[in-house]
Amino acid sequence: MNCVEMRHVRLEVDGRRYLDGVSLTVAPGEAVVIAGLPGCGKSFVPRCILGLPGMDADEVNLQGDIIVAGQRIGDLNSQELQALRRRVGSVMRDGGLIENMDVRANVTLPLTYHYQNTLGPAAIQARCDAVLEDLQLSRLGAPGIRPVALNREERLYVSLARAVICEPFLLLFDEPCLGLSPGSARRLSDFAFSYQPAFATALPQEQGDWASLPTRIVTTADLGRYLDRADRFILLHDGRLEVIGDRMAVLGSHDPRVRQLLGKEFNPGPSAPVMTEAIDG
Amino acid sequence: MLIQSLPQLQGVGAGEFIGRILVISIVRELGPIITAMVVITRSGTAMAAEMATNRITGQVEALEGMGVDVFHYLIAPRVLGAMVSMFCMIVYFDVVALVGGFLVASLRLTMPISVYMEQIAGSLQPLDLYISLSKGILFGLVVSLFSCYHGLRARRAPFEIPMVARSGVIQAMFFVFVSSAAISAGFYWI
Repeated sequence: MNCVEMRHVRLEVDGRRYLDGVSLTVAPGEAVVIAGLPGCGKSFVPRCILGLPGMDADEVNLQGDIIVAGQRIGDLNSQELQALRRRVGSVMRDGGLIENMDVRANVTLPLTYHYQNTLGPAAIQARCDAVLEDLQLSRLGAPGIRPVALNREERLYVSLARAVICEPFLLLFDEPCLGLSPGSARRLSDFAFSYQPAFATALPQEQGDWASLPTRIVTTADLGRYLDRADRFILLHDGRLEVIGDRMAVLGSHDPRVRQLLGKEFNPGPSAPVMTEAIDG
Repeated sequence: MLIQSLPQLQGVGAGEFIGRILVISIVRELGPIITAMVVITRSGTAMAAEMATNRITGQVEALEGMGVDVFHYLIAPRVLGAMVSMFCMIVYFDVVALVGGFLVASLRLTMPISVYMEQIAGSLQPLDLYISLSKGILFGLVVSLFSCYHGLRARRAPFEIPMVARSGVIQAMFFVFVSSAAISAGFYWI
């Protein structure tokens, strides 16, 4: 069973079409990067997977099938959607931290909301300590440190800690490294693609559990940052997804759009082939 | 109110009605309405602005993305809190207003304390308390719901925060006045 499957998805938000017949299949444990220029609508891919295609829009028109862990998002009622979302971690562009809660409460929020009765407060705090220590954020776990006191990098790490604390089978990142210095972005992307916390106490087994490393989907406008980390690279252009391939395919591509996302100038040769393969329906 | 009305009533020999007038005007009508105005201006605006900020900064989306029910997590506690606090504040308001009348009656006017107390106690009926407190619970419910609803209507930019806060305040005030009149009229007919 695929972890994520999108079939012929069309999305219009406030009259503007962002996804135009997009199809995508992501296998369990796969790390996929979806790249596109700013404003192309790549942020809507993780939002559609979460069932939140346009929360800040007046008019949203979504067509097609989005299937996550074998469940069709459009067929789920609110309880089923919540049950699915609690096993999907997401790191949005600005972290999405709850400003009136301190860092510790932010990190433990999904656990206290979903697993308070099954795990208990001690196990929840132990999980929080473990994640913060792994991410070298233990100093932020002191009571009373609120998100407003954090810089952008720290906010993203706290958001990552919150995303992984429920051991998600799917992790979604929306431009996680945007605005970070190169060193900070490298460190964060290392964690994003390889970090898997180990906890002393296990969560209750649920349908949709995946034993391997979580599936990861990252959107970005900077392909080069993830070349050594992702299994597959996909280009979003004009509302359509086109598979570029693996790292070597990206580096060998003469497609000007790919070169632009790599931050390299395009100098078309006489027989420069376009390496992309259309997969949208 | 006591200073204005008591001399007039005593002048026409109707001073014994002051207790009933105070109970009806303060406990039934002014208590719930003035308390609701205080809660709307003090807490309703804050609730609407907070909800709008949560929405605009992506906090609501983050909660939804974690599988957190926004109504259960953000709205229900505020609604319950507003209902309980409105109920308690009306009790406080009524007690303070009647004690204030007591002080005025004892210090500035010619009504003996014992007479004032007798009139209040004789005029205060269970129905007065039912009306007052049911209004309090209803006003707490609608003030918080209107504030949260309008706050969550904000979409994109911080300039929407005062706009939605204003909408929440105006609609809550309108509902409070209309429903107060309807409830009072309904109980009188009953």
